[in-house]
Amino acid sequence: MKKTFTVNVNGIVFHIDEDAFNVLNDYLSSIKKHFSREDGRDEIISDIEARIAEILQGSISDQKQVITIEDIEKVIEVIGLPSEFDGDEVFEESNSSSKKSKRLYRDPDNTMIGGVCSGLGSYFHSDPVWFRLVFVLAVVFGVGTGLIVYLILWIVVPEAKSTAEKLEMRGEKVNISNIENSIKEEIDKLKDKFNEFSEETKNKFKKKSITHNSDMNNIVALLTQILAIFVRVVLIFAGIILTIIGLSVLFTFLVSMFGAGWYFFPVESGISYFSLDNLSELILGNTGSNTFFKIGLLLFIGLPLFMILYTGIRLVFGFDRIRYTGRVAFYIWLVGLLLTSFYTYKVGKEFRNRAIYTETKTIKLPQNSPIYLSMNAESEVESYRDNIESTDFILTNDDDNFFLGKPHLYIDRANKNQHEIKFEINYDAHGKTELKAMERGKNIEYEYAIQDSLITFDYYFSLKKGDHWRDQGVKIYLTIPEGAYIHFDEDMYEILEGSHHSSYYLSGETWLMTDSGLEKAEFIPKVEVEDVEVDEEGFGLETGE
Amino acid sequence: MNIEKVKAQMRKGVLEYCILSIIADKEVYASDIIQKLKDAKLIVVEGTMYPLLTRLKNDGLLSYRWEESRSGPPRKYFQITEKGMESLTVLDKSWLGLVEAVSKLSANNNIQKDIK
Repeated sequence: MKKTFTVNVNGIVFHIDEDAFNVLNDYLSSIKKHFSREDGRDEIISDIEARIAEILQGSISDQKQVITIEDIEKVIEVIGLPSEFDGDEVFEESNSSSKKSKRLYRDPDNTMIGGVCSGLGSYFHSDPVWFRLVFVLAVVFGVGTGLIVYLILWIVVPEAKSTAEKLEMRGEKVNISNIENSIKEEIDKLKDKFNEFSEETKNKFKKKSITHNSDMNNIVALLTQILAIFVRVVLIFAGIILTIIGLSVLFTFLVSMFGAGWYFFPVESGISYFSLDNLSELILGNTGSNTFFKIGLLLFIGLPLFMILYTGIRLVFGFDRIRYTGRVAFYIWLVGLLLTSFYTYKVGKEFRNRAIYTETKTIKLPQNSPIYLSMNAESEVESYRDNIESTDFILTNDDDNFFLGKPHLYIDRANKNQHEIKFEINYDAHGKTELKAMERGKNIEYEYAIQDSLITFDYYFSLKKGDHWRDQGVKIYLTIPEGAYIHFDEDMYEILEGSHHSSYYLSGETWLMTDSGLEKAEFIPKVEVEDVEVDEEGFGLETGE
Repeated sequence: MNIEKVKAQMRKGVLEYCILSIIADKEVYASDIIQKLKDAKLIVVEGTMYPLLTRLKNDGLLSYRWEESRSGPPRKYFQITEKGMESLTVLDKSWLGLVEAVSKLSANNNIQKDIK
């Protein structure tokens, strides 16, 4: 049993086998291509079609009603291949079979999974093993990106079923002249359309001068030709660019979605170790809603990226559009949008109120000695340091510090009537209600130590395990009376916020609080005996200057 | 020198002249022209003919009319125009001249070969 088509050749209806149809179709398009530069090519082609109809008519009878591939071969033998038309029959034969156009097909005879790689191999005339290797690598190292590209290709690339398609699949190598040919074909199609159009207008304005019209036609046809080449080139370039963008963004997105996200996203400000997975857990908690939110996000962001990639691949290889892809994608995307906005709203409610929980302490102003501020070296997580320097917080995969935020230290001048150092620490957070926000603020874990005139700060504050991120922050205000000396440890810039001087400039020096703010101390007061240890360890070199 | 190419070019050169000669006798159907040329081994495939016929028609050397056919769609019947007749006369003369010239030369060749 074979599938047949009904075709109309020069006004006569034929029933034709599927494979015979494919061969005939290729044959006719190769003839069209051959005559694409000839004047009166429409007439030539219709003459040839008439002749084909005549020959085919001779090969059917009551017993044999369907045109088979043998009949088409007979036609080709009589009329000849385009390369034989010029009267030089034998010596150009090597080119004759390769005049066919080339398309990317999946190769069903040489498959591992879907025949995509073997098809690519045929298309580029190379061993499919290389493409398989690339895909395997892309799956392993690209967190499944390769899998997605493979699936797209599996869906959009047709399988080479008939012999004609298989020939087309193996077609000629991709080179400039072939690209030129395919472009020429494209232009012909456009020209045909244009001719139809101009024919119509001609009929409408028949009374007007016709010679003038044909001149115009030539110019317009030339312009159309140039435009068509331009459009084709632009489309291919756009396709390549879209494929690259789609692929890389989708890759990054998937990595942040499913991967650990450890080394991929050192962003300048905000989030250093970015893992969407961790982030959503931090915001939503590790519950069912987290999973739904992630699915929503995957559809909402991932699907458009997927479509960009799909469009790019389609433009490069010139596939036909698959019906309803756009619409289906749009509906799925809407689901993603709904899920995402639902959870965004839900989380948004959690940010409605803000509260600050404050702790205040007073420190006696030391006599003949500056106040020493230093960072607690033990609290530093060494491996984060390079990446966190300019960031406010980091997410980690460590179990004990899931979220680490950076506190901020501000130095202010005290009122005239204040003679002691005021140490104020603000824990601030958001919540559904003010009470909840306050509770959350209290839960922030931050360590500091005040020991006589030495204050030691931790590098980070952290959230209690199981607590959600609600824009928590820690701010420390140190108010010092005029005339007091203050010394910043070399590492203090990590949390210090300078107002007149930069925090880097402030660090490692001793300063005097004056009525116009901090000024570099020219005279450094002598250190009391009991602080000698600290002095030698931390600041001995500084005092020598 | 590519012998096949030279042979093909020779055939190609006289093809238009031959078509005009065939049509000059009487009005003919495209397939008849092709058959005659095939019999004379001037062409191998029919595809060669169609562009030539169209070209000659566009140059005003040929014209055609449609004739209904019992077995299928209407057929094109070609006839020669006055302009075609004129061209044919010119070509007839130049062909005779060519034959004369070539046979003279090749005769010389043969004589030379014979001498050697």
